[in-house]
Amino acid sequence: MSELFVVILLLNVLFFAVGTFVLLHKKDVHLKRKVKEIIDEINEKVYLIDSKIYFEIDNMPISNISAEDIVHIKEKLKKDESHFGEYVIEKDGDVIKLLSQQYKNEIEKIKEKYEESLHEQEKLKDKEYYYYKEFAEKLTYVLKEINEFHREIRDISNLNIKFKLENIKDKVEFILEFFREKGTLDLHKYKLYRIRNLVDLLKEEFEGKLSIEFKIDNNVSAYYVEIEKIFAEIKAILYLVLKMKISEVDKNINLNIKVEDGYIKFIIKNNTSNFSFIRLIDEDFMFVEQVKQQKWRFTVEENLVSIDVPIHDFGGELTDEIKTMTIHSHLDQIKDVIKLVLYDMNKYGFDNNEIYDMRLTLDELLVNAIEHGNKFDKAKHVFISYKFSNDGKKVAIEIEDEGEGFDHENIREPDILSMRGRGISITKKLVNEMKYSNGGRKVAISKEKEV
Amino acid sequence: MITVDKRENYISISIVGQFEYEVSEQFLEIVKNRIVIANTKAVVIDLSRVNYINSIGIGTIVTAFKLLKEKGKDMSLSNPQDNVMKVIKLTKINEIIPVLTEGALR
Repeated sequence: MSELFVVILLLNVLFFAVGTFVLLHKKDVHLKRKVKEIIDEINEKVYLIDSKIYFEIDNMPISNISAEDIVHIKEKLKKDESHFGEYVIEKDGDVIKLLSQQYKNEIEKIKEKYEESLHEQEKLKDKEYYYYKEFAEKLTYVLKEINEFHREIRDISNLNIKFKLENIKDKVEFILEFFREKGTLDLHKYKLYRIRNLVDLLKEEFEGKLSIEFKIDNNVSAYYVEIEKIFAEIKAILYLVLKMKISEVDKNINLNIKVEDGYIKFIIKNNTSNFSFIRLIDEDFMFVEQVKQQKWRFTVEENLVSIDVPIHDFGGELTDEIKTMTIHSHLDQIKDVIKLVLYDMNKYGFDNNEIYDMRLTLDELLVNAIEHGNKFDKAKHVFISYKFSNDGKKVAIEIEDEGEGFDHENIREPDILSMRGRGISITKKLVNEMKYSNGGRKVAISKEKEV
Repeated sequence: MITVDKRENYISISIVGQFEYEVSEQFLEIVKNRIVIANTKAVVIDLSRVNYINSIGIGTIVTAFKLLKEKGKDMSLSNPQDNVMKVIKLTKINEIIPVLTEGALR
């Protein structure tokens, strides 16, 4: 779905950008008309969340709300309060704000739903809960689209264009913040694919547009990625960086893919002098979930862009499914994570002692991630992923926080009489393997059934 | 849940359930405010009904042991379940804190 969305988005942007570029020469009457069309189009999309955008060009407002409309709306508000309910109108130049009851209801529903679901053990199965999460995510995409559009016209026009977006951003932030505060547990299942499959997909996508050069390590077959999760985002970033220029650049851009240091690295190199990559701004990253969550490393230079995506190294034998969870820095959430992992271990036939060991292990490592890693910062996440080996005899788990890391190569045995600092030393003795990486932010453990 | 019993020649503190975050705080409160000033020399922590302990629980036991030692009191642990005993051994606290088993308290 999101792929399709990105494609539609890009087509829109491309179409408009080219259109506007031509129109610029015919003076801004046309531009204004065109901009208005686009605004209408976007407004249609954002209508659902009851927001409006406004543009000014050379201090002349271009708004799809005329003076008559304002009068009309005011009249309507007087007559029909049931439709708009609570509202705010601020006349500030040509900008008005509408805050509708309908939207407030939506938020209230989310709240109620969440409160209810807190009492239910089966919170994860609550479809409506997910519906509202999805709602928040959709809003994020709409915002992305609008920002994209704004940057587009700003980039290609010398006119002084002001951009005003009412409501949407606040709404998105409000909802996301709400989920952040409450601390949610995102559980996803992804199929794991060999990296080669991802490369093939990218090849297909960029065939004839980019020359893809592969430098892949020999041992790459040992590595797996969640293609469903990352393909769309990689693609979006590539299009973003190369935006509009993709037909011009042809084969002068190389995409080099290699595996190194626990990451799959996408390095995009520009070999021409008459083209440089689009400079990305912070807001661009805001919409790429993986980058936002700081799981991906990202560098943009004039002629070089690199994206590093973490990969999974679970050793040779694999089932084809991985489960991932994201929690915020709440100690309460630890129990939810542990419950899910232990439940699956039980399903795979691990015995009670092994399950107990894992309970203690996860308890220690997750407390460490939240307390010492994220320092209880609720905006920071802890990422958990786990999977079982094909024969069901081994479980492998990765836990990563967003803290500053620590010197994992010099872990001291704790003093017997100290209050704290036993977590890692206990854990080490309970699992078969334990490996730190990413400067101590990430720990990978595995536990095998005893024969 | 934590209960404190004064026996003939020792104080028994017994904990029920999981010995982790919240219990640890309560436990230390009790030790600091009540046990330290009691006039009995021996203190026994009854672990027979503790079904789970993590490193925070272990750290708490060690801290209590030190606090009591400073006041000249002897603290010991009694009757831990197998999985709790496992953690006690892993962290080697049994090398400094005596662990008593059934019958030792007669």
